[in-house]
Amino acid sequence: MADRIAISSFSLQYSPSAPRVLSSISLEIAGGTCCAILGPTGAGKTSLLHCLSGIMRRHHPEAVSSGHLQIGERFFDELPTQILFPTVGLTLQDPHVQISGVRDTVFGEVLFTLENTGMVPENPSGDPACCTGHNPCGSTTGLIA
Amino acid sequence: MSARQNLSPKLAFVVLLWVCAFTLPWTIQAFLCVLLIIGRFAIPALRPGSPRSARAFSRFILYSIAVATLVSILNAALIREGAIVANIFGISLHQGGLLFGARTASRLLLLSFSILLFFVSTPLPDFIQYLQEKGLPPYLALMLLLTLHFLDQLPIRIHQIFLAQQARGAPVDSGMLARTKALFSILSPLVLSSIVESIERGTALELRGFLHKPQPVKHGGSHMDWLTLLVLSLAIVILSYSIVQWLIG
Repeated sequence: MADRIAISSFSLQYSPSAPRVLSSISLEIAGGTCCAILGPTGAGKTSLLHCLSGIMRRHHPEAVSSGHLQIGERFFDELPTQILFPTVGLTLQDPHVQISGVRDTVFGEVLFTLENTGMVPENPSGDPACCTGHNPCGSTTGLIA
Repeated sequence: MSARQNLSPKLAFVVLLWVCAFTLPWTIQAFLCVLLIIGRFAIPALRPGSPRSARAFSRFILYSIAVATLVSILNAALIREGAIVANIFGISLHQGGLLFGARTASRLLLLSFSILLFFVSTPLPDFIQYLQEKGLPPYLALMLLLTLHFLDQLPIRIHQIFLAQQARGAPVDSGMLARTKALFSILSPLVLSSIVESIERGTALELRGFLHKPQPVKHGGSHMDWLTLLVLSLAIVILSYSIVQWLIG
């Protein structure tokens, strides 16, 4: 887990000719703390999180930024070009797309991420109630992610 | 957790049916189609995974048989070869055209029944996991997963958009012509929402390390089982025999 996130004078435009969606943001979040970013619709909350997770460059290759990002021990003068898994975790807004479709139970979905990180236990076993939980609801899918 | 199916024999069976569709006489193909419909009820491995899949397969059978009949009749009317077998409303149906239509229809039915029965009876997670275990690269698995999800969700999404259009007063349920016209207003949101969901789901999978997977987790042996070998051998024998027959004229 990244022990510190620091953003300094960070600005973002979706393209060089587009208006700034983030303008000179500076903040620092210490490791082990919980931070809420609040703002009206269109304020740039999701854009900021997409920048921090590395999604922004993948979805908007023409996006331009200025300022600096620090996530743990990694420093970025430009938007990260790769999704920063497993350093950064992110739950997207629509809970129903969080389910991979590769597994059909809650337990299988949790195991799915462990498999991807090479951390599969020898004999994976889970709570039987969890194992049989087909079609989890929105809040559960958020937790899985 | 339910036991996963071994998909190798099933895939080999689909390959065998495809070989049959291109090599065997149309009467055998039609017979195989009937066997597949019976197999959908009788063979546990071919049973649809959900009531929705079962309904979709049943509807497909009905529609495809109707289309096959229509194709045969059209061919019989348009290809004027052989004896006249029937006369409907002054249109003569010829034996040659009818046979050509039956050959085409039985081949198409066998091809579509076999592939559709595979997908309705195979849970998507099992299929993707099977392919990954067989060494399918994560990028291809991701693309396949998103496509199959899209197809799986298509009827639900169409229904939701249909209801939304209805709630906004669009004349979507007042006769065949209105429904056909409404299709155009459904297509645009359908395509757009599907693209957005594919991007979102792809991102969610990436955020959970799908593309960083270190190595496939093996759940079974890499050797083929005897049933897969038997079915594939049969497919090779039929194919070889057909090629030899074709070469010697």
